Amino acid sequence: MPATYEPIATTTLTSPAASISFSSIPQTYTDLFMVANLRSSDPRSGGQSVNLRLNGDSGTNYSKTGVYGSSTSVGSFRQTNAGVIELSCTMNGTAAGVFAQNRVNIMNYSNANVFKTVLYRVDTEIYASGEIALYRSTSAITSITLTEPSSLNWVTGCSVTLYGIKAA
Amino acid sequence: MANTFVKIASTTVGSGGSSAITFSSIPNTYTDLVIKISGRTSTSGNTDTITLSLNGSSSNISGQLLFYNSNAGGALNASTSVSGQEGGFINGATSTSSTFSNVEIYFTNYASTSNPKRFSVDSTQENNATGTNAMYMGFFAELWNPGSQVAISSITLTPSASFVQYSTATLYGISNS
Repeated sequence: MPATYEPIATTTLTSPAASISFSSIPQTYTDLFMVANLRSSDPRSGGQSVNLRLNGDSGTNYSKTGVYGSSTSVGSFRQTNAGVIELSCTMNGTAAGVFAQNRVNIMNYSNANVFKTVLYRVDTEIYASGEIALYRSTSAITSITLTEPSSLNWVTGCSVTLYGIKAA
Repeated sequence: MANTFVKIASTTVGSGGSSAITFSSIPNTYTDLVIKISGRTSTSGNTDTITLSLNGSSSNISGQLLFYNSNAGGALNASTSVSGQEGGFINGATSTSSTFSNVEIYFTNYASTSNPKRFSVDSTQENNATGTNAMYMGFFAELWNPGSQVAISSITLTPSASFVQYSTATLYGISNS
């Protein structure tokens, strides 16, 4: 039986790094699914945002909507013409070995006729959210980059896997 | 290429119901685990909750819950109280008949012997009805930190009363290579 759900690539950091990227993503799948376990070298405790960009695009070509709950607030947000999609990481002052969990779905990622929609869940133990984003480009997704917003590093042990899912 | 998304075990509840569903002797050869549940319980009321135990204990689990319910003036709420509902919301006995909840529980790096275990729960209880707790939706962000880190080798799902017939739960292993 042909494989339906395949790992495309995995990065597990053995030393700190400024970014984690997947490039030359094959265009042979239907959808993409990415699991990102992230911790920043930021010495504070708690969670921090993560910059996710598609195809290296730093233009204001993203919009996003989400609902969230944290230890201090609950609400929703919407942002248009944003320069980035935001996931979450745990900062380095948090208990040792704790990483944020991000699960990202990009359906129909290689279709050259549609803008790309991203559906994702972002979790730290003090923040839970469900979010969607639109990347206003019909270009196939060929690369995904994750960077820390303060230009700090991802710590050793961060792991990110990109999976491809085939519809047939 | 080895299979990436593999069914480890599956349970379908029979006519006698089941007080709990347990996955035991979980192999530590995968990267992540996913449990998918279609469930209903015999608990009185529209909504029940699932207690989740890891390696035989529901202790040392903390988290953040974002939820919405349909109660009067229903609004989005947040809570850090996950005890007794670590596994999400589920249809109770007085919810619309033949209606079962969907729950997905995702464990990342479940076999790590050095780090606490992060897991998330996406849970829906839709009822097509009005009234108290007619609908519950929740996103849970949780952490199991028992102090001495071990792989997750068993998972038990326990409602307040019993899972009813036709409830299902399937455990999948996901490999990143």
